[in-house]
Amino acid sequence: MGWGVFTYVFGAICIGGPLLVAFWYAKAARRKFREFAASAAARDRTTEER
Amino acid sequence: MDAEEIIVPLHWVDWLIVVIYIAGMLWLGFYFSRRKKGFDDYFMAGRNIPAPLLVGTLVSTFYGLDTLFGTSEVGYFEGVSAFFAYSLPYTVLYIVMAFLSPQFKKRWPENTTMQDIAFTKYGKTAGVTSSIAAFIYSTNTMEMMGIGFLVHLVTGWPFWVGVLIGAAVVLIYTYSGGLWAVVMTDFVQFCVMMITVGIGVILAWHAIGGFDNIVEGLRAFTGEEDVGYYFSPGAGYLTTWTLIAYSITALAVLAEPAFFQRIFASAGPKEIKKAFAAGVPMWLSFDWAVTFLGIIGAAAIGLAIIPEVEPNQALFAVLGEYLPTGLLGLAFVGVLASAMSTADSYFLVSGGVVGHDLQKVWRPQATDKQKERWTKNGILISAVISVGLAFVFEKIMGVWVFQATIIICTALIPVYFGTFSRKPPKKIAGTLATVVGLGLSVIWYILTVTIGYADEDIGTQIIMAGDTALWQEYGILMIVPIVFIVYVVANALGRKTMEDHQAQAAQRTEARP
Repeated sequence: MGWGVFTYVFGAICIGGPLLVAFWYAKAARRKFREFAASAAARDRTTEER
Repeated sequence: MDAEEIIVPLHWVDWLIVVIYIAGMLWLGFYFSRRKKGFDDYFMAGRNIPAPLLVGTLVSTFYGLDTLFGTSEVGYFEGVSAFFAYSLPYTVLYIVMAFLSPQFKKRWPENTTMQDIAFTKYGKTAGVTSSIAAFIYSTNTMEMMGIGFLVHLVTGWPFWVGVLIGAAVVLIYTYSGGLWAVVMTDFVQFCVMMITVGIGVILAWHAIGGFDNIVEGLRAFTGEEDVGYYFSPGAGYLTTWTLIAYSITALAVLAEPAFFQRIFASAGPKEIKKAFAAGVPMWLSFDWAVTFLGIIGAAAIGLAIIPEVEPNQALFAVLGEYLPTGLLGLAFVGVLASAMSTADSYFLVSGGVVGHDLQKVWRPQATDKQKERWTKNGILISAVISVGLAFVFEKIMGVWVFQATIIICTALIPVYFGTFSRKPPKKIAGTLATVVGLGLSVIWYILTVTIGYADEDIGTQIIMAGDTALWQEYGILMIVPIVFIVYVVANALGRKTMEDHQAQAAQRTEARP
């Protein structure tokens, strides 16, 4: 009985784990992109002010 | 019953998935080949790999076909001991690496390879010796053989055709795209291999009818009424000593060249720590799923659901039986992915040994272009050797034990003492330790192959010394203490550290007219 529960749990981690990691990567990539966009905008403003 | 040679036919939808997967891998290689700027970008991915990508590449690199087929084969014969006795020791060391890896990144922020530590702390001889060990360790004949075997399993094509196709695909994207291509393909491969194995074990457990039917199947498979040993962590026979012997190769986790490349290529100490920590439940779940696919395979044969197959084919036969069209193609891709993700990383590590480590000796002032060119040459050399050995040997018994022995005995002690000892170590200590470690590992392997015999039941080479059976794995237990003593004694008696040598060399240069 217990073996089945563990098999389902570990099977679920096998399926859900990579999906969570992919979500984590997407979030990190989005943050990096926003930082990049913000720094580019700040650079543009400085150039305009000059 | 005699084992049958099976062909698992794929539907055209499955083949479409396989073709899309291979085309995707090649496209990633092509895409990153256009983005890279210089050696650091090619070999170290600009030292900017974030934690989630590191999880994918760490997990998929270390888990190749030896884990997939090896662990499922032990599960097939011995049940859950495959997980408890063989896989758990590795898990303990992954946790250890989660704590140690940020220390390495902090102490060696400029390093490229693990062998750099030996070069910096002990000089050329120790550096070259540990580089040779890393190159031998990174030769991935098993993965090449595994791809040949897999392609044969679904097409019936000769073994060599699969080996050549697999090697060509891996080689193209690794050679052209470098570490970014390897990391990104590893990430995709990590997702595919984990998810298909997860779906496979859940569907198979459900379809076969759960625990009671599995026990029924195992009774019919073994011909024994009591199959309790299938669900005993020690399989009813493993002693503490045999457990140590089986799990000693796990020490390779601590001196794994591909891990060190990722540590130094990570975006920071916190990133690599998070990656190892997040990888632990993935490794653990994968081991469990693969173990139970092996057990279910044996039970399914007992219940006459699948034909009697070779033990290492049971996993794929189970997936072939229970997965519907489309998912079976994905499962084939998943198994292929576990082989390719390991092969690409080790090709690249071998390339780095030639282009970065050894080139430092013959051309200390190498430019970025020269380093990249020779890393690519190294990748080609490693691929040729791996493919060549796959054709020479039909079955390489104990090749993993040999490779693990080489890297543990040569690199472990010098690298860890060189990094964590408070006083700077003496040059002679690392030099002698690496040479003695590599020399004894090779001699031990030659002895086990020449005067030893192959024990098919235990799955290892054995030398009889009187009444004592010395397994190939015992080499690590014997050589590591010798290397440790050599290192400690040489460090106590030695006079000069690398800093002393460098200061002396600088003085000599100044004194010249």
